[in-house]
Amino acid sequence: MSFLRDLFLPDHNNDHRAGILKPQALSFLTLLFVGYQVFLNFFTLSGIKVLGYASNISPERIIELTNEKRSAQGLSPVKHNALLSEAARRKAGDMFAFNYWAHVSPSGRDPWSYFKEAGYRYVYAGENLARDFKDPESVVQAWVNSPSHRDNLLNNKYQEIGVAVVDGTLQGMETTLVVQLFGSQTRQVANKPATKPQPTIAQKPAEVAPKSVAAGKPAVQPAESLVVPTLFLNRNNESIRGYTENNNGLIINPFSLTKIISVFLVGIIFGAFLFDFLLVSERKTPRLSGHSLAQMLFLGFIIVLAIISRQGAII
Amino acid sequence: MDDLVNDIKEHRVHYLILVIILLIGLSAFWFCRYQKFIQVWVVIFTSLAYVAWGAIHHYLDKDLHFKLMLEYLSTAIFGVIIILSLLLRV
Repeated sequence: MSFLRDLFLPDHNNDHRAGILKPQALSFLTLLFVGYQVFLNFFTLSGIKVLGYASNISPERIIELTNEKRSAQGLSPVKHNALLSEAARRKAGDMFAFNYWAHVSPSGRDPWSYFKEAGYRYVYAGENLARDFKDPESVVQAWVNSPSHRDNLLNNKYQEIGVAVVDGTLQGMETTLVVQLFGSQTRQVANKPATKPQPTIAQKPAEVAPKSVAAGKPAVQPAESLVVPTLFLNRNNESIRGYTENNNGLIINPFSLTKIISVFLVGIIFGAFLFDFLLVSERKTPRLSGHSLAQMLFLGFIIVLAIISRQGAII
Repeated sequence: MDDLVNDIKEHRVHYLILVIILLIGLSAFWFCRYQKFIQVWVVIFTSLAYVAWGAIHHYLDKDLHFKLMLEYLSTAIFGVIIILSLLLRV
């Protein structure tokens, strides 16, 4: 009991500063929090599937939102192509099967090999990836706000789109992957008159380097890919749907857990500063310490940031 | 409560500057909500500004002390680690 009193009540035993507010205690809490993060990473990577993630993203909505963004920029809408969706599903399946989060697989397989594998002969091709978003609006907005992804999304050379939303276990965590592929096929470009004078586009042979590539990556020559066995974890067999329903009923994921613990922990420190401030003010205790009001303002700022932080990553 | 009011009155310009620093940080964080690496820098710079505010504030109050700066620094590091753990977790 006296330990708790020292921790939260300022009195002569703790130099009139609650123990939990002292630099040593805050440093200890920081280390403890880092330890929790390491533990959480180990826990998720160890294969124990106790944390899950659920979202409600549909490929149709991703395409719809993409076309809304394109229309807003005066660009023509991209049409859904089943081959591209198939290529996107194959890419997502490969990422789950070989446990990586990148445009190019650890074995060196580039995104363009999936286009070829699905039978899509492109002149231009591009890929955007996203994971762990809760809704399609956030996914598309995240891409739009990233210059390299936006270049793909708002590229006038693309005429078709394919999207796969696949859920599975990636790096120990149940994950929702969104793969968005853009492309223009040889005959389409050849047959369609360009709105802007770009004669080289139509005359290019089928197998040329994609002009716009995986977001954030330099152009990659679509060389023959290595033969890599592709396993599919896609639970959605229909051509263009892929709601990421979690069948195991788990609703907590590491991000949410970290968020809850963060807000709780900072809230305790905030409360301790408030309590400390009120007590010291009441007692008019002279002491050398930082201004509790300033500390509370900063911690309030941290709490707000923690609350508005969003899950999801794009590459 | 009187002490709080007096403290704010006495240092109203200081607190106003701190509030502005934090509001700018908050706005930048929200504005860059889909660019996590920028958000990381926003948090780091806002926290550094907070520590600098503490140093300047206590210097002007003529009670700048190493112990005080440790308090500000440990609070800032604590806050930064909390937010980074959220931003860098997928």
